[in-house]
Amino acid sequence: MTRRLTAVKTALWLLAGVLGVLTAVRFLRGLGATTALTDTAPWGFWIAFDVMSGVALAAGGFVVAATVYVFGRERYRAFARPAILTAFLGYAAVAVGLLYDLGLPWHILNPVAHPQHHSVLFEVAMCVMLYLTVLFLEFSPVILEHPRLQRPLLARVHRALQKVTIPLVIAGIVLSTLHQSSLGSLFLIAPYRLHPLWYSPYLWVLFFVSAVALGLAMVMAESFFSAWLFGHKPRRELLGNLGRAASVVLLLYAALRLGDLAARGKLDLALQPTGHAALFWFELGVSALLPAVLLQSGRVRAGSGGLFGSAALIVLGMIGYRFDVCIVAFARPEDMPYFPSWTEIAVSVGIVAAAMLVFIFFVEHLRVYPPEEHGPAEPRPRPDPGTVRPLLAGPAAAPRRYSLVAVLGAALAVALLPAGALFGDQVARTPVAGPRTLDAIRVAVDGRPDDLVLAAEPARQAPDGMPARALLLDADRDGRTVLFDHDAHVERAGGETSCGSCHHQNLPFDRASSCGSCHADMFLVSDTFRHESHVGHLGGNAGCARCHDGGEGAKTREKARACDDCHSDMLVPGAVVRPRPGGLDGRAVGYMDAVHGLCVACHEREVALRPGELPASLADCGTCHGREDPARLRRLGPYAAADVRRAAPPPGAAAVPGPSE
Amino acid sequence: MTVPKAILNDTTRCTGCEKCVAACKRENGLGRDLPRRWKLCIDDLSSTRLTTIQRREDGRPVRRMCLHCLEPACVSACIVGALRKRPDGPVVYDRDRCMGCRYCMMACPFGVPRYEWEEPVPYVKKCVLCHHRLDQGKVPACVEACPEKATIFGDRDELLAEAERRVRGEPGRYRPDVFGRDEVGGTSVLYVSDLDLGFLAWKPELGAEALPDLTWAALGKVPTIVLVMGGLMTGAWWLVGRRNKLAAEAAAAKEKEAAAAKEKGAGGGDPPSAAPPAAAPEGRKP
Amino acid sequence: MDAWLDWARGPAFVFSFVFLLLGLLRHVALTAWEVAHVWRRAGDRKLPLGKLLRATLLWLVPFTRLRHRFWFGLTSLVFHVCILVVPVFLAGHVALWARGLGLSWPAIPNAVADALTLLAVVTAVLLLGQRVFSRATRSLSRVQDFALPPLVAVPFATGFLMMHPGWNPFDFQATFFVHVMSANLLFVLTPLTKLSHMILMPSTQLVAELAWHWPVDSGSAVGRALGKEGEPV
Repeated sequence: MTRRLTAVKTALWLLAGVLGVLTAVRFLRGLGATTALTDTAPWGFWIAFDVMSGVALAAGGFVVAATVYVFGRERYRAFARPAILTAFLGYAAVAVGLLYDLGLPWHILNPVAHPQHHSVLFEVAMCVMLYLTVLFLEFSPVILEHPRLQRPLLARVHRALQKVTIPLVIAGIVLSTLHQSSLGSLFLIAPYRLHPLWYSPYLWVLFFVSAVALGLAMVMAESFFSAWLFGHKPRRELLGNLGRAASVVLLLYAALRLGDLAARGKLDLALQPTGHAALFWFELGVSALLPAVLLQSGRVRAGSGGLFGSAALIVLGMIGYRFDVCIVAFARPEDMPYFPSWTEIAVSVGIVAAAMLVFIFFVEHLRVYPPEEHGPAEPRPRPDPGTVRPLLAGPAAAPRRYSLVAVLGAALAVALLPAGALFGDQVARTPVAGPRTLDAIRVAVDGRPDDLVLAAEPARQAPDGMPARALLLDADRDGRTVLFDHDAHVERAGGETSCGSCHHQNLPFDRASSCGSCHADMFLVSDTFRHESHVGHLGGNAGCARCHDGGEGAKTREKARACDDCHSDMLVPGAVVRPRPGGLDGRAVGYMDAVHGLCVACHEREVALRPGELPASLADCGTCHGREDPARLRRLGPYAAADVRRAAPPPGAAAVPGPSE
Repeated sequence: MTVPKAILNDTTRCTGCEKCVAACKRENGLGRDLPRRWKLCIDDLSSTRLTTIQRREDGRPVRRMCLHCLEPACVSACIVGALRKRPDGPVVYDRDRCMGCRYCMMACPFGVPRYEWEEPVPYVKKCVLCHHRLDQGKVPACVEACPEKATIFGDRDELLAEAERRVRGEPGRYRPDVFGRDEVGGTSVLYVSDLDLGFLAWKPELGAEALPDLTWAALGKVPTIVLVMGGLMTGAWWLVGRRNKLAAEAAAAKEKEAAAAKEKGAGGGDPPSAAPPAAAPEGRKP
Repeated sequence: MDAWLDWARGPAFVFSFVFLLLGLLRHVALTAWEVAHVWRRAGDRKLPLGKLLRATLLWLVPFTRLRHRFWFGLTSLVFHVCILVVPVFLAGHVALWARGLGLSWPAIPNAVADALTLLAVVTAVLLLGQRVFSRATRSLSRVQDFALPPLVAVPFATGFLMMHPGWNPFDFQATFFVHVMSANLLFVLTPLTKLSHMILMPSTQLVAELAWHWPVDSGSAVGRALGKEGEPV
């Protein structure tokens, strides 16, 4: 038993250590680096679990308080203290979890300074703040009982608190009713995003009723868990009564849910073979129907396994209900699904672990459970495996053990963090795809000479057209193309010998290397230098000094010889673009910058050279962009169609969140 | 008296030159668009792109931006009043109040507000209808930049009339309805188009009901819930307490009676009907 | 090989280094807490604080102890200076910190680093020899006392080979991997073995003195004697 407690605490400290690192990363690097949230999934795991489920899981506090203090069921008094402590720690965890999720957590008190009472969230925030205070006051007599706190002033506070127990309890019930239901009202504003099987004008009723059932289930589950942890006997008969009450509430919840759907005429949505309908029935079954039926049976209620299993079903199912409303059934584009990052999950788990450690601390030091249920005091764990001999063997053993585990967890967390979380979110790489070569015919179109049409387009195959080779540029394959008249540019630049004016640098032994062979990323700088291959070709270890000939200091790229010291033929003389002074170091700017830099610079130069001859708009975006739209390309000949379709999704689907499609 | 202003977008005139986008970026000092995890594509609306040109069927350009609803869901959702609807039209944002809860992003029926996910100190980004320019008597930067007059600025009433005139005047060129006249209670950015504009929102068919009303239907019940729940609980506590007290008194009286009877019964043994100790203060069985 | 090297320089290094930093921090915090705890209980005794301070300073500045066993002391001193200076101030390492975290500090010339590296390897061997051949030391030594000096020498030897690839008979990448992994292993071992003296050194004298006044487990020993085991003292 004591071994079990030690093992559980060790695991919890490990998770708390992970949480410590993730906390630092979250606040230093921001939400984008640590979560999977997007503009179409602005609320994710932290809201669905920490806030929505956390508040609901802490509902046991007000349900038990009502049972014991208002309805005078003294038999259940033993549940009151742990339930209120659980609720208090649950709400504290909600508040802490919210600090991680808020973009500007230091503004968390702004709702008090700038209330906006039309916002449901405002009501939730106020109720949670007040209820957290109420729970603290409800629980504080347990703290004040501690032998070390027997001082006259504190005793007076203690007596005053005991006098206001009933008003506190009633205030807590009212506040809980308000915000448990308002968590459902939060989603009333989104009728176009929340799936109709979940959206209802009476979401707030459903959330409240389900919270009552969940509160009862949590008391049951927590009783069994702490009995297992602290080695005392669960009060199975009383828990069975709670189970029967939960079953009644669950049946009411299921009836309300289905009745509401039927009244709004949406029940047929649940009977169609869709993913949403399956999810709906699965969730309703696990959260309400199955446990309600189970708990109606006296045999299930008589055994610990049945009671605990049913309670676990309710807890998981009702968390599932919150997740469905908040995430799963909340519309977002199909090509932008949300799945939480491991850091999000680990933060939530870490907060729960920390709350459980506080709970265990209170149980070990205060009278949370009735005295007869108390297990033996804190066991003495084995000392630190380190060789440093502790000055204090006994009292220091637990801190030594748990701090070592927490350090281990923290170090593991840092090692597992993705680079984006350590160094700030990284811009995604967009590999560049080469151009496609198309056969075209040069004809006069709309009075413009030298316009290209594709050879496969029958209507435009004028007999006087000249065959031409065109390049279709779509480097990031987003379906938006530039049709580049390569032949005409060759001609204007001076024929076959003019390649170098645009192809300003070649790969070794290459002639007119394509843009994407160096500018390999659409937006980011690419590294064109292959260290491995150079090591191999220059003779392994002996070859280092061939490039790193600087002698002193570190062997860095900056201090190595420039590429063109050896590859003197890489640079083409007479090119429009020149490398930066200081020699080539193997880094190439993004494709978009490179191509814009080259084309726009040259177009501007040409306009300046021949002002009357060329239109001033030659350097505008429209000269190259927008002349070829993918839809027109798709209507062309069969090979072009296949080519374009394979490469790019239809423009509608690829573009901005047209979520409803 | 401020006259509500509006923008009218005519998608049939838009050539997709993106000069509005460039002007917006210049005016608002927005950075470079970079591919990020939270963007669908590079020219998606984003924290660096408050208006954008979306290509529809046949590559037809449609401008997207905040629609500046007449009764904005985001404003009603904002917990601290950081988002505000100005009487002259713009829905504006006060970053000093914002606490970053992102409820506005959940609430917006058009999916417009964007977040600076990459920043450790992030703010919400959306078009604010260049309200600083309106204050100087100028039109929004995007409107000024449009070379085709495909997006125009003016009083909402006049623009609505102009939109009706265009739609009625050239029925072959436009669809019959003006987008934004009634949708979610009306918007300050109107569209006339030959395309189906349903894609601008999360659902193609938007009702005319303003979204804040849906919330208020539940939120307005708060005082009632407080009174009913508080009253019920106090009443139950009083009733249970009183019944327990009465039961205890009855038990005490019975005991006393029994004791008296015992005294009377001269020296007899224990009375057979001795009252048990006060019943457990429990009423009904659950 | 490249994947393994990336793993060693990436996650494995990050884990080891964070474990080193937090582990040492943990030792500092625990020592402070324990000292405070014990000091409070040993409060009725007079602690010779001035003497403690002097002893601590004397041990922290090792020149002062050279006269006891000159050659051993000198070897140890050189060894410690070398293994601290080279990893921190090597130009290549400074460049790595600058690239990874943007931190930068002056570096020592490569020639000096080479000399110190060779000295570190040589002194490590000498220290081990002293431990093996001196009977008194040998009988006081634990396994880790024998194992750690050669282990410390590994990253220095491989580092020297990396700096002089022309003389390196082994594959460069393999040398690199052994270099990084042996250093990672040392980082992990530091908070768990006597290597933690790198941070606990300033507190040794005080801890020893307190332990003299309040022997470890004395409270529970008294409790056992009185038959009141487990009760608060």
